[in-house]
Amino acid sequence: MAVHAYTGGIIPDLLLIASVLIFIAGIWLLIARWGHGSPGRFFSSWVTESFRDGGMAFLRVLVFDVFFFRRIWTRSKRRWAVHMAMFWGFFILGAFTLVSIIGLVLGYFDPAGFGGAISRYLADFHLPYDVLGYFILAGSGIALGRRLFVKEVRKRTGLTDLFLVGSIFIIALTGMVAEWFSGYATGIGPLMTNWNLALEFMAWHIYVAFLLFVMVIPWTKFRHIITVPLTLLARRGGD
Amino acid sequence: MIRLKDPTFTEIQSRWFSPLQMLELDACTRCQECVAACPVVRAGFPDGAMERIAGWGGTGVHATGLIARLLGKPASGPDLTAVFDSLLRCTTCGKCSVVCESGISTTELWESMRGAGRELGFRNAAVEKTIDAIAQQKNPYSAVPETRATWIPENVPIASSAPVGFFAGCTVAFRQPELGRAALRILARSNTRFCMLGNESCCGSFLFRTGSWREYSATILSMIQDFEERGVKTVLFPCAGCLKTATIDWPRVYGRPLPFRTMPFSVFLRDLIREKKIRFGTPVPRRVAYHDPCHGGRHLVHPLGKDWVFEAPRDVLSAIPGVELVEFPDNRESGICCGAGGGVKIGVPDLASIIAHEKIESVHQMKADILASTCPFCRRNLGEAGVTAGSNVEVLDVIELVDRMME
Repeated sequence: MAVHAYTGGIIPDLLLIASVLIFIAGIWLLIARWGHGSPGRFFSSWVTESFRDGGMAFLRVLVFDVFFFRRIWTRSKRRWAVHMAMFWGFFILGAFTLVSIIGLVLGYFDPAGFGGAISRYLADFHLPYDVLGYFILAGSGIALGRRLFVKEVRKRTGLTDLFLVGSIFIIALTGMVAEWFSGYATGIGPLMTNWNLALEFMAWHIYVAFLLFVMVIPWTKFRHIITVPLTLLARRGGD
Repeated sequence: MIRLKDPTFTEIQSRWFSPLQMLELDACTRCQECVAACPVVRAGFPDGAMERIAGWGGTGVHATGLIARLLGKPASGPDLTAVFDSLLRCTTCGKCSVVCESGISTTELWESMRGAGRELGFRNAAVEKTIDAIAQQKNPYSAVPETRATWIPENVPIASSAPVGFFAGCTVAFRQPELGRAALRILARSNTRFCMLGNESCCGSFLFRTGSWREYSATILSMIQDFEERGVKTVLFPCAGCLKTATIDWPRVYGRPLPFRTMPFSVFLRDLIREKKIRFGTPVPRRVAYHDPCHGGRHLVHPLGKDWVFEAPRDVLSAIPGVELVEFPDNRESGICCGAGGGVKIGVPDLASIIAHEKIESVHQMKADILASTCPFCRRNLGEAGVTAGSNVEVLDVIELVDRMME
């Protein structure tokens, strides 16, 4: 849904391209730092450790520890639910967005044919967006709420932490608000339809997603999206 | 304040931290699980694992991050005093590693930080004194090295070479000879042919835990060689600290797998019981709480397996007639340390005492008569806490309990 609101323009296009380039540069610098200046040293040591117990052990860690947060499950079921909601919500939503972009491109080149059909089909595909959107909104809302209202957690939460959780919440919220105004939201239907507001929020959703998330991943705590799976795999689940 | 302008920081960091440890410094999600689990934080001291990683990681970014690359290194970095104060207070129990959602190997990370910290000039007088003692006297107690073997009874047959080796360790040799004698009595009465090193020295545990082992490599290599020349295939350790050091740290010094296997004494005891080479006397009803030593427990799960490190001592205790084994609420991987590890007993003795007193209080609540463990260091710290608390709980090693209850 979100990608259909993106109307482009030279400045927004450049902004989004720059954010992706900054992301790539940041990842490269991170890997270089881990390898004491040599990315190759890091990769070689990571591959050696990750596959030390064989391919099956690697796969087991990938599925149970990375995809299903086994270590968090053993500590707290509530926090596990929050993590699952945020991770899978974000992951699948991202995958759907990617598919939508592909559909949009196909529709652009072949509006009357197969590409157009795919594009129109995907444009009507609201249910998974909505379900996952609510998941991630709830997950980030709970995380934000804990940091704001639970005394012990608030005491140990820095401004950076608050910004990061807050930015996820804003990304999810702008996306969902746009969906509500679009008139297609599952369960709400045309009750709130307002296309101007929908397009406005969609555009904001895309900007904040790139500028508050993609671009800052390597430079902020968001980097744990990359570093935690890498660590779990290299430490073979950490047990 | 750390000086970043001269090349020392980055050089020292690359010397002490592996690429995966560099990754781990970026893998902390600040979930705060480690803070909640840390016995030192629970005892009222600030800055757990999370802050330590943030402190060191921040300095590293300052020295090697984008701004440093574009504009050159800044003259100085953030003050790391708090990080090293907190490292000094760390018992390296590794509980933070168990609860870490990212699976960070924290214990090894603290050891690397301590090593780097020493090179950067963060040193504690008591810790340095012990490091010197080990370098000069080959034991952390500054005892005369020639007196190391005086605890060994003359009537115990010790072979010059045998497939089984016995490594007593400094605490047994200089502070707890009764524990060593109990172990030797069991070996003798079970007709086990065993040998000991002629040149036994400190295993180096304290040096590894405090990041100062590099100068001690020659001594470790000579002990490995000595065991090999005596035809030893299995080395028994009555000390959890020595066991961990030999199992995890010695191969790093040796550069390849050791030519013998390392075995907790409790595993050997369980084998003797199963083979009926040990027979117990009249049952005496006792309620025994088992304390999992960190060095002989969760630190060794990977190389030795859960059965050896957690179940063997419990199986031995359960096999003693009359013994009712009771468990701490937090046990096995989740066990709470005695407070003495990681150089804390020497560097911050008050902290070691606070944690041990908490443990003794738990034993009272469990209504146990005996607190058993497989680590002389835990035995010492918990025993001292028991005495100062006026407790009538007896703190014993599993070896002593078996020796006492044998026919």
